[in-house]
Amino acid sequence: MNVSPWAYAPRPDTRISTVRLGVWLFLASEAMFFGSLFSAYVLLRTGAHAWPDATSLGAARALLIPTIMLLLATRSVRNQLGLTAVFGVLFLLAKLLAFARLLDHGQHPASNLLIACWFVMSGLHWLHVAGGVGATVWVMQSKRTVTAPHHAERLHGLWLYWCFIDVVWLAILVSFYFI
Amino acid sequence: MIERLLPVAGSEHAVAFDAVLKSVHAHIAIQALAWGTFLVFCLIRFRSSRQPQASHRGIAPVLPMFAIAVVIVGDVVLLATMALPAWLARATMPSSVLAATEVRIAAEQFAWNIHYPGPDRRFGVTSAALISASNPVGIDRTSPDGTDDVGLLNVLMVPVGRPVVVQLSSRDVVHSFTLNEMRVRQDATPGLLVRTWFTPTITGQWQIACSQLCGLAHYRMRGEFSVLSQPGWDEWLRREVALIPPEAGLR
Amino acid sequence: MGDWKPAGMHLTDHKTVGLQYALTASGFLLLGFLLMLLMRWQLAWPTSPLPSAMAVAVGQDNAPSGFMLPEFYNQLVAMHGSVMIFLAVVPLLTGAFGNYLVPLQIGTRDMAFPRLNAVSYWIYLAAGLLMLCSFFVTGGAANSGWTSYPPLAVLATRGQDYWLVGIIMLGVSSMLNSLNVIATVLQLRAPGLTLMRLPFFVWSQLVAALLLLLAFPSLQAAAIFQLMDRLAGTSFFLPSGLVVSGVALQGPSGGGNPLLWQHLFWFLGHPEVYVLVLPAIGIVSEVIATNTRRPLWGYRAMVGSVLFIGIMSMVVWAHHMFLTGMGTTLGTFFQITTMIISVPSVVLITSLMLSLWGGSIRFTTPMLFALAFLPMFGLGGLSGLPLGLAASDVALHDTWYVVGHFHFLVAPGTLFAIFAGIYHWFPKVTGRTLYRGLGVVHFWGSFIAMTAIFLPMFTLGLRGVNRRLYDAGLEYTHAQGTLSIQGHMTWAAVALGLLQLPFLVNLLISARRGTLAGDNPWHATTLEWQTASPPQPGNFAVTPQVDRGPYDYSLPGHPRDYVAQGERE
Ligand code: HEM
Ligand SMILES: [Cu+2]
Ligand SMILES: [Cu+2]
Repeated sequence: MNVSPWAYAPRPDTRISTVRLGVWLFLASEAMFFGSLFSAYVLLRTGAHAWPDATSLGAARALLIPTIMLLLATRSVRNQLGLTAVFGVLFLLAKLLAFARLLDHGQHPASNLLIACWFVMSGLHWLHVAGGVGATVWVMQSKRTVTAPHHAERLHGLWLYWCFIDVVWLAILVSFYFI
Repeated sequence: MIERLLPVAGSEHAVAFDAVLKSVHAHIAIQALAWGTFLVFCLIRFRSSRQPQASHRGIAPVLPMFAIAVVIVGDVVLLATMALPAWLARATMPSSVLAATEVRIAAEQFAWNIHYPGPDRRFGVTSAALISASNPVGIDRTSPDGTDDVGLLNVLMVPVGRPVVVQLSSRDVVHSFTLNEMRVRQDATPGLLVRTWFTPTITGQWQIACSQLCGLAHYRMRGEFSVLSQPGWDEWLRREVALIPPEAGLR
Repeated sequence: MGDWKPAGMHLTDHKTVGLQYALTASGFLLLGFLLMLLMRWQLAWPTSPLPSAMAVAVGQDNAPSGFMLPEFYNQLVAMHGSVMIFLAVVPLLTGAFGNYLVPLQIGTRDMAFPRLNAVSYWIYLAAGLLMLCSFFVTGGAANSGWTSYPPLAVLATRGQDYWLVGIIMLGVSSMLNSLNVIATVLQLRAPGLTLMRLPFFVWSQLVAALLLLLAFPSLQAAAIFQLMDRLAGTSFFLPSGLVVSGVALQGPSGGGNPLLWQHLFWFLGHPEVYVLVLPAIGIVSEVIATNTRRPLWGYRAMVGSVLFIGIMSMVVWAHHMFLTGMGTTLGTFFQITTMIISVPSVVLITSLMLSLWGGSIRFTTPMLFALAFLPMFGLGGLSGLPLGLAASDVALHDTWYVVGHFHFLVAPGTLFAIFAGIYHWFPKVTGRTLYRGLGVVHFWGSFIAMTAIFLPMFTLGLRGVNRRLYDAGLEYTHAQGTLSIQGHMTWAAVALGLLQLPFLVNLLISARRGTLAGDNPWHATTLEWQTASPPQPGNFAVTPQVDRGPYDYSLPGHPRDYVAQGERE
């Protein structure tokens, strides 16, 4: 591996480190991805004759606990990486249960567009959380093999990613339940 | 040059549309000629055997800036004085819809189902359940306006000199309703009802084409299209109404 | 990572990845070409059986007793387009040229994230193979055009699933690649190499990478929706009340919108065409600067234009949808943006033309291709104007005019740029030069053949003959007079294929026996020429220090007609 001088420290003229820039670029791409999903959602919803009530996805308060777990996972990145992974996994399990419950109640992606959007959007978000847990474990594991500044940059990148996941989740919640 | 290739301009707006087409191509030709001449000149004048030492500075920026300004002005003039007005003029329906001939066309793989309102000029009710070989549009003959409606497969007949309003839809996939001679091309998207219109100025016999890939027989999704004289069309319609099969379309 | 190091190179080295991309994408280019030949054969002689060799290759299922089925023709159209764009030309421009040259031109050792770079290649390879496998599943490959409009694509055979999964994977691959290019250019530039001292090729790669990074996700999202419609029974793109072949579609709830796909698709689709042309202009710029022995004219204006194009290309997409029945406000907006984006494109081409003025033009093989690129690409761009104005688009949309328009951009346009790039940088990559004689034959042959194939398409389009027709228009009276032209175009396409043989022979022979090139055979200025040919792992023995612009050719009062970028006074 070749290590450029500005991999972990800000380059004077761009004022950012390469690792951090990479994370931001990745998030820009991700933002466009979720942005496309959201604009599709808006287009479908505004174009629909009737849009089912979001409570058919389950009560909003049932999502309170997963939401708190997600926020706790993000909070722990700075000081307790292990907890991040744990809270992340709890979120994944909670959501999995919620999906299963929906299916049990005969609410399939094919049932109507609201449920279809919900499955696709929160499902893709779920995959992103799973990716976040994987990345967290990887950063934890490889802590000893990299230098301290390197690890610090990785932690920062990880934190940005978790923040991004939070924002997406809140946006999903708000747009499905409160608008 | 272009007009030798284009199909006949058979509708009122075709003239304006063709004018845009010709002007754009004139614009293209001028620009291509200017570029081409300049290119050939440079290749001859500045070949290394004639010009062993290149100039670091090159051409002064005044002339090129002028050239680009000309291109921009050309674009703007084209857009503002021809293309947009021609298109906007057609985007609004003719105000005298009463005087217009109306037809409904439902595209499907791989045919055009054409619904004429008949002499009363009012569409009867249609229903998918009534669709059959002798009633391709599914006209409900028991509905008040439906008794004199004509439903035909792949046959579009319109009278000359009056606006024709087409209400276009699709039953399955995206098609594109095309009358080359009328300069009409309009996508038929399922779930969407769009209207398009034209005023034929000449009589003749042509074809309906499908312009949007719609499946394996897309290439032969063709219909007959005729513009008749007004008396000829009235006569045709009368004959079609007389031909309506008595039992089809009764629930 | 593994210890297997071919020729002393690591699998993550940008040069290795670049060459892997180059070889794989060339394979796909050949495949796209062969698919096209089958298609062309059918268009030329729609009622005759295929020649026996072709019929055997295609198989009884697709061509019973040699007569090609329309189902198979539609697969050919869709896969020729998809293979050419997604698997051949974009990977050649970004994966091959971009990977190999960007680190060299900015004077660094490798890409910013070498491992991600290698991963990007392997995902691309897997996606490509997956898409090709679909020819062998029931119903064959995707058959709804490279645009895959629903509901047709949702109702299509299994092959469409392969296409969609392939596209989703390609999105990941191109995200990794473009992220890498941007980070590399911004962070790893050699000391003193400011942004305005970057070779124009690097700028073009930077903007193309930005476009891929930001636009591809929209197609990925769309592909996921379409996959759900096909596999999970959702109706994102299916409106209520569909009746297919006389039977009401059971299952999907309906309520979706087929136009949603078109918006998401073209939000990528239009930037994608700039990904196909900007790096090509970048290659041509390098070749022209080197072979005129003078700087690019209007470098700053070119950089401004390429950035402006990058931004604008995100707001023109719906000019592909004028005929869907969009409202007047939207229609007007997209016509205006389309006219606006044509201006910086004109600036780019004009600047390159003006660069010739005052030059000392050397007609090397790469220069021949680069020079031919200018008028051909210009014609392609100009013929986009009538398609960007709704009033003239009505006569031309979905006709052969469109096929002529974009092929002038991508075939004698981008492909010529790629050829120019190969002749130009082959000495850097292999250390040996390509023979000129064979190169000249290749050039003139291709130039004539390309013109003979694509120029007639404009006339077919103006006469109203539609594209994507299995029988080339046999069913339509207005197309009758054009059928013989299809035959001419097919012979020209066959000739084009044969004329690539001198090129292949040239590549194979020159790689072994060509004259040794040395480090800087063209006496060029940019940094890649200031290291060994081929460059050793790590690229530069000493990191270059830059204190001048990229094109210091023919500086007044200098003994030599160039001063290299890494040279110190
Ligand atoms: C070099 C020789 C080439 C020839 C002779 C050729 C020829 C053709 C022909 C005959 C069609 C189909 C027309 C139809 O039935 O509608 C076509 C379609 C297409 N080609 Fe090419 N092509 C060439 C290269 C390329 C390249 C390099 C690209 C892309 C970079 C490309 C992209 C496409 C696309 C996107 C389509 C449309 C497919 C669709 O309708 O879905 N072609 N080409
Ligand atoms: Cu059709
Ligand atoms: Cu476009």
